[in-house]
Amino acid sequence: MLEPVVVGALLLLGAWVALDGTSFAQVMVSRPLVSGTLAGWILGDAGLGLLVGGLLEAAHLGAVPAGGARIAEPGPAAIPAVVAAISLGGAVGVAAGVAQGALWSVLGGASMVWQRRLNGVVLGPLEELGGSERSLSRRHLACVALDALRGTLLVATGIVVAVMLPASLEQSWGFDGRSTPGILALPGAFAGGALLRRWSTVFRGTRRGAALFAGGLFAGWLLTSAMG
Amino acid sequence: MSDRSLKWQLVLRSLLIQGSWNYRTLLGAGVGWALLPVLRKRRGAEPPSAWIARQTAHFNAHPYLTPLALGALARAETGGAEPERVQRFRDALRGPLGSLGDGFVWGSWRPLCILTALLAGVLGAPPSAVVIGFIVVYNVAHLAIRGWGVGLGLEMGFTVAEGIRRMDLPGWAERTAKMGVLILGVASGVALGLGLGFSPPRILFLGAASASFVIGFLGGESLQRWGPILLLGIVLTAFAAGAGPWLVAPE
Repeated sequence: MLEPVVVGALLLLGAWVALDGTSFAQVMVSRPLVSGTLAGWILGDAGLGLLVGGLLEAAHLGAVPAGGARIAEPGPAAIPAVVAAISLGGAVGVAAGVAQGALWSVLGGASMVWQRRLNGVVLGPLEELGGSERSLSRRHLACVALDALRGTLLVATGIVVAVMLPASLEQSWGFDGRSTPGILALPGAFAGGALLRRWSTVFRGTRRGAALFAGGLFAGWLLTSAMG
Repeated sequence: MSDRSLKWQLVLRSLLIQGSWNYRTLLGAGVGWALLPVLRKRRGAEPPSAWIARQTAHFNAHPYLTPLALGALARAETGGAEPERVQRFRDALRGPLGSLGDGFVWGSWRPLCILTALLAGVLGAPPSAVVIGFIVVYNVAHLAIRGWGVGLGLEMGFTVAEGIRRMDLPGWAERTAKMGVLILGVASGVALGLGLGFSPPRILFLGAASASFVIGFLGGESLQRWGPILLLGIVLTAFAAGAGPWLVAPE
């Protein structure tokens, strides 16, 4: 059972992470790699937070939020994902947590669309918006507060679901603790392919880009071989 | 209010510029709100309500480069430029500030920093080092762009396009992408070397990873939003099939 102070800290983190995604600063606390690790730190296992956040990060690596594109929101989603991973424990916890995180990131993306529509309502017609300095400030900051509330609600519902996940799930998950991250990292390979496609367009011709990638591949393989 | 004070007000307000992002004016209301400190400094007889309505009209740009527009608009407004001219200038800034920022920040800098942080995590760096390193390195460029943008905009006003050209963001995007290809290669090599701990039949895992990589490469940007769905699908399929035991060799 989570202590109320821990739940409070996770909800505050949820509000901050949701704000960082669009409304405030965008210093990338909203990346699941960061929010997952912070959630893990609050819950007493930053390493597991990094693992769950990193797996969610890999699946979302290639998404570009250009021009208000409708994409998933993995930052707040990583928080209940880590709660689920810690509640269930072991490999099944990581798998269930990451799955919940993936689902919550899609829900988070949908909630951002509703939030943006709601912002249009809060701002009102342009003639009213131009009414006064105070009116503009009040409406703009109200939209920011609504975004923080959205993040808090998203994380709160996620935590409720995470702590209710049945322990019997363990019987359906046969992968061990070493194989599970490998399987869950597969969408990262998918995102890596798309990134290579995007980045390779800067090379004139494919030869130099391919040589650079192959050099890196060899260096990475050597590195892991040297590390045993 | 001194220019220095105005500069810092614009930088700080730019952090909240997307606070009221909406499908009608996009960043427009945020730009108007961020420019409110200019309202009292401007010249001209335009009523405040008309000025606010003009500045809150539709606007879109990359959030990190919007401070550059704020600086340039503040310079134009405090210099007493005609409202119609400022409006045309505001409209002209939208496109380039969006595409330049998306190409460099979202397209290259952010994925490069994330990929490097993920690689550090896989190689065993402590969680605090991964997170702090990522936040610090990423935000050195982020905050520099915001601060530099407001300063350049305030200095150059209507001629800010020349400053944007001098900044050479496409060149930086290209250099970052080249570095990204190298780091992506290293990450792929590490994944290959580790086999990510998968027990025999390892070939099955490597085949799935290679196929995912190739599909991602061929599909490019259009498939990227499917990443979380793919992840969910993998986990649910594995749970439904209870597939683990027959894939993992006994200890």
